[in-house]
Amino acid sequence: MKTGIFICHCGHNIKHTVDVKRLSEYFKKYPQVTVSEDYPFVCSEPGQDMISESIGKYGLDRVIIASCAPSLHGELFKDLLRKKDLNPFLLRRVSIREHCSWVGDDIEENTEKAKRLILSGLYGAAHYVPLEEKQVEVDKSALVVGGGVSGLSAALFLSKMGMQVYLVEKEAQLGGRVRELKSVWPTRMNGAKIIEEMENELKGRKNVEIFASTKITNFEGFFGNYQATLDTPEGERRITIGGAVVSIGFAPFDPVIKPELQYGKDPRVVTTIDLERAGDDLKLPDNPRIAILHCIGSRDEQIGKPYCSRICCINALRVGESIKEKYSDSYVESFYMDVRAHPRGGEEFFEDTQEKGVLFTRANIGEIIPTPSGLVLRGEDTLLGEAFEREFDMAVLSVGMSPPEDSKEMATLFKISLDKDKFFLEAHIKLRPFDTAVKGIFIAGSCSGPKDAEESINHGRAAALKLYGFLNLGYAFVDPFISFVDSKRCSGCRMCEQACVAKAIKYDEEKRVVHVEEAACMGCGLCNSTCPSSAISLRGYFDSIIDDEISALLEAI
Amino acid sequence: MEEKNKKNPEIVGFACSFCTFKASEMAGSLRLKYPDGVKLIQVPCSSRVDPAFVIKAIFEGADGVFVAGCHPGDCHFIKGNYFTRRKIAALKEMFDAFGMKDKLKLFWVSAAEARRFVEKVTGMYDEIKDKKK
Repeated sequence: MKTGIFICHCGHNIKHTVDVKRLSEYFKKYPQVTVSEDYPFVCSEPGQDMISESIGKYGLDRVIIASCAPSLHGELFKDLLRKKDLNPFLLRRVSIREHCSWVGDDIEENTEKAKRLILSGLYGAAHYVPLEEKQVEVDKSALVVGGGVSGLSAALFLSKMGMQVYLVEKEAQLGGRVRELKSVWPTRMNGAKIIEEMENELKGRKNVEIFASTKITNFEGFFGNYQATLDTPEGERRITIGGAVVSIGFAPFDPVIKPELQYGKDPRVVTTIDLERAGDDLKLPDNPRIAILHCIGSRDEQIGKPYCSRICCINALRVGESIKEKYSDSYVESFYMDVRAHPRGGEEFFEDTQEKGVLFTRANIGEIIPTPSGLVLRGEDTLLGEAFEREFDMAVLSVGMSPPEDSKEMATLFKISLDKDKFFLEAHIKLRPFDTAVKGIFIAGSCSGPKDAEESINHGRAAALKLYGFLNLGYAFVDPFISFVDSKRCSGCRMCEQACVAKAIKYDEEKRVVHVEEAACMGCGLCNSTCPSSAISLRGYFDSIIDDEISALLEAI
Repeated sequence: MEEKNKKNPEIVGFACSFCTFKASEMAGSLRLKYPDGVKLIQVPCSSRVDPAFVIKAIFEGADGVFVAGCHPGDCHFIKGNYFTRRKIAALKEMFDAFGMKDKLKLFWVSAAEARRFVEKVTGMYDEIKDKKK
């Protein structure tokens, strides 16, 4: 066996807490190790060249790369092996950055840990066998879930690229939350107009099918060949799609959870959304006194919403501005924690609003007390450190974004992970911000965290582009990590058949042994750990691999 | 080496690649600290863990073993973790008979719960370290 070990410094990320030089020297003494090198950046072009050269020069049959977490650069290194005619499944990635150098501070202990981790990779990889990647055809069609701005922009993009698109919306009307907005900052365009423009373009296209008032009841299959069952007003419908963009949006925070604000009990307490709906019907005196409360349902640990909703500061500024424009004699006071007017032009807009006469007070509002003459706000000025009480005619709550009500349900359906705030979790916040752990399922818009309309449109388009890139190839590789049966060892006890969730194991009555239906196997390895005769094994995770990894980790080999 | 082993426990963890392994990656990226004695083996699903692996790890000198998977109901393979739960419960009874109940733990950690991962492993490590003294 000829193994090549390549240890990455990752600049200073690994090098400063792991003695990489000592490690690369240490592994040279193993007879199965042909090359052991360390390099500043293994993922860089010269680093890749070094690996390819070594493979060619020494005829390596196992490659161990000790660097960052395996989810990063996975395909890059696999391609490197493919180019050198080496099976990509003979590559072993050892994570000595996320699991070692970033975890501890002590250089001695970290070097020891990294040594053990690489050793377990070395002994585990010794049992690797070349695996065959299966190529399957993919269906060039996409499902877009949710007809808000992000869903519409994703559907529009996919349709323009020539994909068959199925757009599913649970409401009767497309457009989601943006349709309700009177003026979308910063263009001041009517929300309904933006939606109609997109909707009309979409409806004119032949390769788009729109399902309104429709729910998805079932979703199964694998990348390139998913099946969805739709519950449409016209009855049940089954469709086959290659992939999906899930953009189910958000739910506005419901301030009823905070009873001290009197929302729902006193009609003078309204949210920014109510104000948007009411438009000109507000019954206010000629010189109204208006309080605007920021951060309702955001940055609040007590109600489990520690995150910033990003859109509500701009919303609060818009409310202040429009009231000042309509009632020039009004008294408008905004109670904020911090004004985070983050989008382009936001800071200027904040200054404009101040110039127009909106007062800004840094304060925490404790409660709103309704009286016949008005609403008394009791709170603390956090700059002066003084308590105050002030009377207003109306209080506007700038509500934040909460995850959609059906986020849990949809997450289970599409096997998307949820983050701690119950928004959808991306595969990697920087490198794969639209992907989920499931191939071919993408997330877009505010279901993956608060976003404004502009960001949602971009997010939708970007997710669609990634899906298009996957589907347009026309084929896909399927992971070869599936189970197989050694029929000589199989006693026909059928324990695995009962355990298999995917129903991939079939019993042969004549031969009295089981076999695996490869297309159905999901690769969880449950059958492998269930089999009493060790007759069934999961490719890539054989008993011998894990056994030796355990021994090597504990230095007992 | 013997001396050192007596002081610092060695813990082997079997981590599901869809949740706990992701959480541990995230814990690393967030520069959260946990003891170096905790080392992970990646498995496709917690149900891949054969009780024999756990016993082997104890035989080879591990002071503690944990199996970590997705929260019940969240399994990528639909219900693999329910099988894990039953298997580990049975194994725990056996460990209990030998008076080593604390050496085996089962955690549920989702991909987003980097902090929970660190809390759990550090808690287990400290517990075992206290007992060793």
